[in-house]
Amino acid sequence: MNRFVVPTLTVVAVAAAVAATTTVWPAAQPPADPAAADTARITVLCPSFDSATASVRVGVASLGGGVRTAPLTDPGRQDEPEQVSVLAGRAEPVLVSGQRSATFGAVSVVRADAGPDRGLAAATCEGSDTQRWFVGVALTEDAQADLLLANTDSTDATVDLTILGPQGPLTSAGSRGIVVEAHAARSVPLSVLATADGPVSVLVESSAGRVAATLRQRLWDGTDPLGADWVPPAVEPATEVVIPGIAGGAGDRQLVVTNPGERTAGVAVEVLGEAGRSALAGVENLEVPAGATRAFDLGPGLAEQVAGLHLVSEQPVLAAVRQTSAAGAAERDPAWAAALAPVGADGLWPVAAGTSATSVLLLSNPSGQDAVATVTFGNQLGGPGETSQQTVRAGSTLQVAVPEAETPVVRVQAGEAPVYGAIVVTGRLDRVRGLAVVPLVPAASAATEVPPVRYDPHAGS
Amino acid sequence: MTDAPAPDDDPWAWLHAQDLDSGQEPAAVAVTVVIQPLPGMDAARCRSAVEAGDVEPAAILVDDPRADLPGDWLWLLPADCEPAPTALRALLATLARRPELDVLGPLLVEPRRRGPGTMIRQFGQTITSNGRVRGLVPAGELYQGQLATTDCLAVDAAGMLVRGDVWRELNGTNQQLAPSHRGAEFCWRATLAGHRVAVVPEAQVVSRAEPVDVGDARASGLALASAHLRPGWRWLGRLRLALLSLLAALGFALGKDGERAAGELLGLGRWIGRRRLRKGVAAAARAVPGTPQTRARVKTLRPRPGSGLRRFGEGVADRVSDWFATFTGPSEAPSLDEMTGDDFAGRGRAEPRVSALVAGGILTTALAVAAGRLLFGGGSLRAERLLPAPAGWLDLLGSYVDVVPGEAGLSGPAWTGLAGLASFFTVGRPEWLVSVLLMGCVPLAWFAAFRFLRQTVQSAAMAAVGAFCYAVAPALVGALNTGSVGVALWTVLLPVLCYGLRSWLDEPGMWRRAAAVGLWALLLTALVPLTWAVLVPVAIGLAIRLRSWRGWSRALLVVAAPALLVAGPWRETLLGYPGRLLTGIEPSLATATAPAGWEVLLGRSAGSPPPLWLSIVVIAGLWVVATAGALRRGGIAAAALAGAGAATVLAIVLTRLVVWVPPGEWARPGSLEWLVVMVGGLVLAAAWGLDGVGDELRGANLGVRHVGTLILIGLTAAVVGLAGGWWVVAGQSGLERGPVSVLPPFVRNAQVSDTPGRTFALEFTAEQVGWSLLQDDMPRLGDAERGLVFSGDAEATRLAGSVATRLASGTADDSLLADLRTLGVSYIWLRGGEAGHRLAISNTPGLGVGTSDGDTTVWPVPGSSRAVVVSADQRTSVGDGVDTPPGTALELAEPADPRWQVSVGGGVLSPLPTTGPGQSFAQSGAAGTVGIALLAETPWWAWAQLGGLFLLCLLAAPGIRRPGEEFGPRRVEASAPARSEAPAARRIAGAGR
Repeated sequence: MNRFVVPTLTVVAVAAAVAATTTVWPAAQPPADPAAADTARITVLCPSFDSATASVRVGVASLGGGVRTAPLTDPGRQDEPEQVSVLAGRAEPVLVSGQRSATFGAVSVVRADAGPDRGLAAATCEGSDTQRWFVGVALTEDAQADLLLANTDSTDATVDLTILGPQGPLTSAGSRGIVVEAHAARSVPLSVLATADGPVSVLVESSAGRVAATLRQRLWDGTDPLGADWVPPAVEPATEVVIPGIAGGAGDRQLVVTNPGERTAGVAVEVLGEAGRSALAGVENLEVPAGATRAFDLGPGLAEQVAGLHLVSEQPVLAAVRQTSAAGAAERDPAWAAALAPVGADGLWPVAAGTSATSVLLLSNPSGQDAVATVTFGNQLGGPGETSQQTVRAGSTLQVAVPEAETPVVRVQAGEAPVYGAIVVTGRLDRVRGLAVVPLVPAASAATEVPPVRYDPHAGS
Repeated sequence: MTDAPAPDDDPWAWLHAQDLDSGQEPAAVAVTVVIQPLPGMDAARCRSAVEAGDVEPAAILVDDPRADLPGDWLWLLPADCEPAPTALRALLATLARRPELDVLGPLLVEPRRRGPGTMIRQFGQTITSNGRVRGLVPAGELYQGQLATTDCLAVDAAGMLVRGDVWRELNGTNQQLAPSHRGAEFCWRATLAGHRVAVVPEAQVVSRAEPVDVGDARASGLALASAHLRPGWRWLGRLRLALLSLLAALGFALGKDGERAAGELLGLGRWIGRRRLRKGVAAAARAVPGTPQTRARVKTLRPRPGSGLRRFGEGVADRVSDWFATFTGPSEAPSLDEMTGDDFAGRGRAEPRVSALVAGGILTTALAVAAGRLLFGGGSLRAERLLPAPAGWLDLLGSYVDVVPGEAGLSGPAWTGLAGLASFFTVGRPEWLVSVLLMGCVPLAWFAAFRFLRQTVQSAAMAAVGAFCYAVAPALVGALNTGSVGVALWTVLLPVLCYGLRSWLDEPGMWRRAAAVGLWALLLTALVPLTWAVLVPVAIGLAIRLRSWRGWSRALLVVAAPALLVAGPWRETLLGYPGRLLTGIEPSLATATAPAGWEVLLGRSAGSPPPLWLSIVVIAGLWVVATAGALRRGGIAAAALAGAGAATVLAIVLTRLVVWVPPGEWARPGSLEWLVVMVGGLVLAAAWGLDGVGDELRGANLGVRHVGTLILIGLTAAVVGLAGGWWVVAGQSGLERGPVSVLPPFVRNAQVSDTPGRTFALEFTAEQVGWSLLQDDMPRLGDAERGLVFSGDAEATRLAGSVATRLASGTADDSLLADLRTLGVSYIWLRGGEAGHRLAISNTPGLGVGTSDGDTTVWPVPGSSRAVVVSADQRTSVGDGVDTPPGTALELAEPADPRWQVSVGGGVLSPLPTTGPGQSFAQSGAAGTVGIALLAETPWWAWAQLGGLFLLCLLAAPGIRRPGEEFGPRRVEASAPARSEAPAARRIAGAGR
C-alpha cells in the first residue's frame, strides 16, 4: 500500500468529523428537567379595607394565569382568578401569589366621592420585607397616618418603627417591638405615636420575621376630609434617587428629602421634564441635616407639567414628592410619588380605576443616553393588548396616555438603560379632582435577586 | 553430546594446565575405583574413562558402594559419571599436599555439547538448616579456573575419593536417601567423626546423572536435617521443618512454580510417611555424636543463619534488576556472556543504558515537584472533578461494597473497590494514592511510556522526548487542572497495557503475559468501560491470526478478564444506566458544556486547558510531526497515526452526546481519556516514523531532507518546551489542598452523631448559588456515582433543588420547614450572599435563630434529622442504637426501600404508606432502643471478585523463574526426558543472567 494512503485518510477523516460537528451535527443537549423549573411563588399583599364611603378594588393581572388570591387571615382559602380580574369589597388585605418566573401584578385602587377616603388612591401590591421606608408622611394634628403591618408568613413578626422628623429622629413610646401575629394584620396609628409639624419619614424594620407594610394617609381640615391616599414605600437610601410620577396640572408639589445618615447631605436636584433636563430655581441644591426630614416646595417651576426628579447626594438619602390635584380644599386630592427602583425587565399593573378615570404612564430616564421600553396596554378582557416601543430621551420624562378601559393593564418591559415609571390616575369624583399615583414596582421585586441556583457538590467543602 | 572436556579443545586449558603443572606429585596410595552400575547406563564408558587417566588405580570394581568395600582409598564413580583423565591425579596431588584429608570430591561438570567452556554442575556441598543441599558455587557457572581446593561439609557421592577405613567405619552411604544427598549424609557424619572433607576443582568429573525426583530429594533433605537436630529440640525442629516446607510450597505456588511447590509437599509427605528412612538416617547420625570441636567445625561449614533470607533478597533484587532492565531497551554492545559463553549463554540481553532513563526520570520528577509546589502539605486534594478522598481504604472499599438504599438501582462503581485495594500501596491512605496519581502522573506516565518506547525505538533520546510529550498530555487537555484522577491513572496505565500487549504478542502462548494484558485491560475498563469494546475486536483478531487453541485460550482470558468487573451489582447499574459505558469515572461531576469539534481536535474539550495559541502550537505541532513520521515510514507509524485519528474522531463523537448516568443525571461523556490516546498515537507515529532519521541523514549530502528534519526538530522542541512549561506553570493550578469541609465542627458532628442529620449547604458566588445536601463524612471520592443527594433518590433530589431555589430567593414559604424535615436536614449553612439573602432565609417559618461567623451563617432546623420519632406534640431526633420515647410514628429521611427494617425496643415497626421522599413506620407508642438497618445480602460477589482478581494478579505476576528460564541446566534439559525432572539447582544459581 502506498504510504501516503493511511495518513491522508486519517487527516481527511478527522477533518470530516470536525466539519460535520461544526455544520450538520450539533451537540445534543440534556433534556430540560421540568422539575428544575423555577416553581417558587411570590406573594404580594394588596391593601384593602371595608368602607361605607369608598370602593376598594384590587386589580389582578397575569400573563398565562396561575395567580392565586386569598385573604390575609385565611391563606388557605385561595382563588385562581382570570388573567385580568378585579376583586372588590374585600374587607381585609388580599394575598396575591404567582410564580416567580411568571409576570403578574396587582394594584389596589380606592375611589370615594366623600368621607375620610375622599378622592382617588392607588397602591402597588408589594411583598413582605424586613425593611420599608415611607417618606413624606404627615403627622400633624390634622393628619391621620395608619400603618398597616401585615404578616403573610406563619410565624410571628416583630417590628420596630423609626420616625425621622424635621429636626431629627422622633422618640415615641410603643414604636419598638410591635408583634404581628402570623397571617394577621395590625394597624398602628402613627399619629398617636408622634406628631410633627412637617413631613416625616418612617422606617419599618422587623427584628424577627417580616411584614408587608402599607401606610394610609388621611388628611383633614378640622373635621372636613381633605383626601386620602397610600404613601408608597420608597427605595432604600441611596446617593442617587429618581422620583417618577409627578403629575401635571394644578396643585401643590412638595419635595420631601430625608437624610438617615450621620452627616449633612448636600443634594442636587434636577427636573426630568418632557423637554429634558432642567433645574428649579431655589431647590437645585439642598441641604438636609443628618437624621432629619426636610420639605421643599417645588413651586411653580414645574409649570404644571409632568416630570420626574433626579436627586444626587453626597450621602444616602430618601425622597418623595407630595402633590395635590388642585389648590382648593374642596377639590384637592393628595397623592405621593416616591423614589423608586428602575422598572425592571418586565412588569404588569392593572389599574382598576374605572372608565371615568384617566391614566397616564410616565417614564423617566435620568441617564445620559436614551432608553427604550416596550409598553403594552391591555384591558380587563385579557387580550394581547397594544404594544409599542417607547423611547425615553436622556434626562427626560415621557408621557404616554393609557387607553381608556374599565381596568387598563399596563405592561412595561425596560431595556438595558434604567427607566423609572409611574402611572398617574386622575378623575373627577363629584367635586373632587381625584389624583393617584401607581408606582411601577414589579411584583417580581418581592423576590430577592439571586443568580442561577445549581447543584454544586463542592458547596460546603 | 560429546565426550568429556579435552584440554586441547578448551580455550581455558592454560589455566588448568598451569594448576596441574604447578601441582606436586600425586600421593602414592592405592586407589580402588568402585564403579556403581546403574540401570540403563553402560559402566564400560566410565571404566574406559578411568583407564584413560594418567594415574592407574590399584583396582577397578564394578559394584554397589557397599559398606565393606575393600581398599585403602575408594573412588566412587556411578556409571553415569565420566572422570577427566587428570581427575584422579588431581585428587591424589591434593592428598599428597594435604594428607590429613579423608574425603575428597571432584568438581562435577556438565557434559559439553559443542563449543568451548566448562559449566559447573556442583562444587562441594553444604546443607541448610531446612535440609536443602547447596553447592558452594552456583551451578551453571562457567569454570574458568577461578576455584581452588576448598574444605567443605560434604561432597557429592559421585566422584568421591574416600579413605577406605573411614568408609567402613561409617558404614558407607545410606542407600535409602536420594543419590544427591548420599554424599552429604556420609560427609556430615565423617566431619562429626573428626575427618576432613575437601573439594578439588582441578579434578573434574562429568556427571550425566538424571535429575532426582524432587520429592525424594526433599524428603532426604528433611530426614538429614531432622536427624542432626540437637537432642531436646527435635520435635520443635521437626515442626519447624514441616512449617517451613509448607511455607516454601506456598511461596513456590505464588511464584507460579507448581513443580517445586508439589515437590515440597511431596517431600514433606514422604518424609513423614517413610519411617524407615527417618529412622535409618537418625540412627546413623546418633552413632556419630561428634565432639564439641567437630560439631563446631560442622557449624562453620554450614550456611550461616539468615542465609536463606539473603538468598531470597538476592532473588528479589535480581527480579527487580530484570524489571529495571526493561526500561533500558536493546543494546548494540555484546555482553560478556556473548563474548565468552557458548550457545547456552543468553544473547541480546539488555545492557543498562541509564543515561536517558535517569536524566529523564530526574527531570520529570523535578518538574512534577515544581508543578505541584503549592500542593504539598496536609488536607485533601480537591478540584472541579475531584472530591476529597476518604479517610481510609476501607471507606473506599465500603463505597463499592455497601448497598445503596432506594429504588434508583445504584451500586458503587467497581473502580472504587480497586482504588481501595490500590490504597495498600500508600499505606491504606486513599488521599496519598490520589496525590501520587495526580501530582506524580507525569513522571509515572513518563516512565511507563519510556519503557514501552524504548522497546520499539532505537534512539533513547527520541524515546525520552516522545515519552515526555505523552506524559504531559493530561495537563495539555486540562485533565490535571480539573482533578480527573481517572484520566491521570488512564495515562499511566495505557503504555503499561501497550507494553504488556507487545510482550504477549511476542509469545502469545504465555499465560502470564496474557494475564498481564487482561489485568491492565480490567483496570482500564474499570476507568473507561468503552475500553472493553475496543479491546474485544483486537483480541478476536489476534486469536484468529494465531489459529491455535493456545492463542485462542489466551485471547479469551484477555477478553474475559474485564468481565470480572461486572460480576457484582455494578452490572445492574450499567444496565440501568447504559450511558455510563461511554464515560469515565464520576461523570456527573463533569461539565455538560459541549465543546466544538475543532476544540476537541486541539485537546480543549473540558476542564481548564492551556491558552488557545498554546494548544494550537502543541497539538498541531504533534500532528505535523506524527504525519511526517507516518509519511516517512508508513506501516506501523501510519497505523499509529490512524489510531490517533480514530481516537480523535471518537472523542469528537462522544462530545456530541449526552447520556443518562448514575445517579440519574444527564452527562456528557468525557473525551479526555481519548484525547490522551490521541496524543499517544501521535507520539508513537512520530517516534516510530522518525526513528533513525539522524543515522539516515548522517552520510547523505545536505538537502531538503536535512532542512525538513531540522524543522521537525525545532517543532518538537517547541512542543516539548511549551507543553512542559504550561504543565509546570499552570497545568495543575486547578488543584488545591485544604480541609475536607469548612462547616463548623458542631455541624459536622451533627452529621455523624448518634442522631445524624444532613446539612443543606448554600454557597453564593457571583455566578451562581451552589447547593448541596451533605451527610455523613462529607461527599468523598467515589460517592458521586452512588448519589450525593439522598443516595440518588430522584424525588428527593428534585425537592432539594426546589428547597435550594426557595431558600436562595427568599420566598420563605410555609412548606420550607416541612421540606427540610423531609430531607432530614438538621442545619442550613450559607456562605456568601448579601445581608438580604441571610435575612430572607432567617424569615423562613419555623427555622431556628441563625448564627453568623464572618461570611457564613448557620440555621438549625428544629425537630429534623435523618430519623425522627413523631408524637402528638413533639419531634425527637433518634438514630440507630438510641433510646426513644413513645411516639406515633418514626420518620426515616432515607430513600424508600423495602429493605429498611426499623425496630423500637426489639419490635419491628410496620411501614406506613407515604408520599414523597422518605419512609414512615408506625411506632404505636412503643419506646426503647431504636434499630435502623438496611437488610442486604452478604456481598459474596465481592469475595468472588476479589478471588478472581487475586488469581489474575497471581497469573500476571512475574514467576520465580525468569522468562525463558528452564528448570534445570540446558544441557540437562536437552537430555532430560521431562522438564519436571530437572534439578532445582539451576534456578538457585541464577543461571541465564
